[in-house]
Amino acid sequence: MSTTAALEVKGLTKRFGAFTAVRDLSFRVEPGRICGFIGPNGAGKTTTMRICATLELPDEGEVLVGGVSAIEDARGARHRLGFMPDAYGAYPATTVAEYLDFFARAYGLRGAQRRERLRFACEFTSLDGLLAKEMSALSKGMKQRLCLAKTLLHDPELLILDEPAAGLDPRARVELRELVRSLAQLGKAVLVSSHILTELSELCDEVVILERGVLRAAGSVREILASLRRARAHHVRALAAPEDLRRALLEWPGLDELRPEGDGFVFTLAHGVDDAAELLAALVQRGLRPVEFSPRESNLEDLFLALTEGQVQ
Amino acid sequence: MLDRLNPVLVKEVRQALRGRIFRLSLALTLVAASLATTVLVLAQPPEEAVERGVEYATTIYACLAVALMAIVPFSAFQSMGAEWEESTFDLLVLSDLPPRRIVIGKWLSSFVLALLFLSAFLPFFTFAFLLRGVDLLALAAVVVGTLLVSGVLSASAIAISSSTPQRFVRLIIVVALAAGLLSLVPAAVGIFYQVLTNAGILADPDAQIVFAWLGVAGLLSVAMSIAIACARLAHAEENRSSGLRLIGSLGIVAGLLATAHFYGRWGQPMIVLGMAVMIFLSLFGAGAWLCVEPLPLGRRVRKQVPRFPGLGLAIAPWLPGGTRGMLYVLLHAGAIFLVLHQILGSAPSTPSSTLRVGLNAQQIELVLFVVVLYGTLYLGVPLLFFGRNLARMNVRRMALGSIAAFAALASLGPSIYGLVVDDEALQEGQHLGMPGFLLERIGDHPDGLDALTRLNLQWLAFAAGFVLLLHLPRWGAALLEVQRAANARRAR
Repeated sequence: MSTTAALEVKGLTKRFGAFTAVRDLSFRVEPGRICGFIGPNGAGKTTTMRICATLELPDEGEVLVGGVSAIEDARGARHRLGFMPDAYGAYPATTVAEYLDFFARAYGLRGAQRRERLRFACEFTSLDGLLAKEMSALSKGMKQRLCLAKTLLHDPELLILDEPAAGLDPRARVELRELVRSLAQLGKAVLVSSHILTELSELCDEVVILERGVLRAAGSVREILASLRRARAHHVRALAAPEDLRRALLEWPGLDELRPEGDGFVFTLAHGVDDAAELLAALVQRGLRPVEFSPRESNLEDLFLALTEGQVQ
Repeated sequence: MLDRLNPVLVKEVRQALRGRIFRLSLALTLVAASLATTVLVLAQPPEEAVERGVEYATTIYACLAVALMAIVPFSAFQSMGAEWEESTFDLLVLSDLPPRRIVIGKWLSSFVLALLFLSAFLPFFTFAFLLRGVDLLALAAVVVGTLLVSGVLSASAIAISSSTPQRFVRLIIVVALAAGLLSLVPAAVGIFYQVLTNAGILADPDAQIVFAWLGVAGLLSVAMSIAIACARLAHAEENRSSGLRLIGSLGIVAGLLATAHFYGRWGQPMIVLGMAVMIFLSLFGAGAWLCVEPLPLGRRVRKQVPRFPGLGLAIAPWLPGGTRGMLYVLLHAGAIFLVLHQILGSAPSTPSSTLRVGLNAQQIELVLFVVVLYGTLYLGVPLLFFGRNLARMNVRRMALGSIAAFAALASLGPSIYGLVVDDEALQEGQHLGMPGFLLERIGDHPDGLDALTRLNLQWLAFAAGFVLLLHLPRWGAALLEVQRAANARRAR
């Protein structure tokens, strides 16, 4: 951990009057990694992202962007980060080329450097063919790509993307996912929030799960799942009558969260793989004729549901 | 060079040239001017039309005035508001553009639009000049003056627009602003006609002096508007106040210089009084806002405090924070009083002893002293109670309201009490809470104060001094905070 993190959040707390939006939140994102920022509505994701992007100030805590304090040296931090808010605007009567040119100038890019960065951003986001188009004529997906291009103009080390996939059609989502992956390959750290967990599970190297402003878990999806393995979900299907199978499962000690799924059942076992083997043997012995018995692969959605109570503040 | 142009200026001009508002308004004003020309040429015999130069120029000027004094400032207002309405404000803040460049870019773009309007009208004015009766210098002076007024109005419109992103409030402001700007047009047209028909006024040295000082006031007004807009756009933790305070100080210096100049030239003590009242009203009125700022220095501001504690303390009144705001107001009030005392004590180059109007110099000094005392009390007393926990906006509003409420209560409370106890003197406002009571008594005694007035003045001074004494611990804390920030910077 001696290298400088692209983003380091330490003990972040933000209050709005008597309401605490984020409480003592800490995590870090390393260069070249994609970090999913997950939480139900009102969990404090956008507030945290806006603080990281220097747009809000915390009541307590520190945010370091590439080692630079986003609180004390907002300008220094802004040079190192690119923020794509969930509601990004478009200027009326402005073409794509003019929009990008304006922000390139705003970031202080001059002459050949500006032209080079504009060319890179347009190529990277495949906006070449749209430069003469007015922003008002762009689709949601195109606008999303345009905003990403704008975010990349000053070559930031850290990208903060707030709900970038919201409102996009499946094709545009796939394109965006590919773009984000390419950015990580270029060595950029990405903090991305989304409600579409399947989307994030395919994209992220690690996740930060937040609920009611409190950190529930942080780390790689695999690590967090491993820490939850004590109560792993299983699926069983048998040729016997479902009611008989259900009764047998309910009698088994340590079996929990039983629910029907398809023509079988899903449940969790508290005591690990030996317990599962004993249960399977018992089902065979009782003549229930099991034809499927397998541990269920947990995904990000399961992880999220296991860690959060689904409560919104 | 194009590379170094303010990006906001480039963007705004591009947008405006492609936008509907500019194109439509340019077309409409040009159509109106063309119609006026057509009527002049077709409806009058040539020999009569030639005589109507001033009327024709005034009609054309009316079309231009609508563009420069209403459409351009209104567009400036809209361009600032559009950043919120189009959700582009965050993107703008995140770029490398500080608020100052954003605001100046928008203001300059409005100036460019005004120049474009003016260039479109130049052929009409040239035609007007070719007719008889139009003085070229007068025409140029008023048109350039209108351009400058347009700049002042645009800067004010940007400052007003930056005040709130709330749609409902903005809607009310839009209506008020549109009405206000349009109401200026007839006045401008009237001035234009007067100057064109009395072109000699521009050669009058007295008028030139007044115009010059109006120019200075306009420049200061632009600077103040830009500072207000910058303060509104800056982050809550950033320094939103020092720019305003500094320009306020410059404005006061300019006001005092103008006062000294006018008094030296025309020798009328009442000019000093008029100017001083304007300066004091501006200081105490705007100062109330500074006095209700939250006290603790933001983390980003603390980094700007000079490392040397002495220097930090010296500039403390110009640093953000309500208590330091009160120090700023009182420091300036005292300095203004001393400078005006010097001005009144100096002999004017044009003595006006034969033309004495209103109060004499000694009376004016006393009036100014009373104004300072009342200002101190009106700010000081409410802030003793409401000057804490100002971080929350509603507390700040309450503190501001308490200043106005205290002033009203002090003036009217005893009069109402007089009604209850049937005291005629109190009912008529003959009490210390009513500033007019003391001022009237000073006015009634040109050769020295009577015993009762002197006693009242002493009481007022004692009350103001006592209030200042009660504020001392808070001033100490505010200065200590600055010193701590300086020490922390040195320690780093």
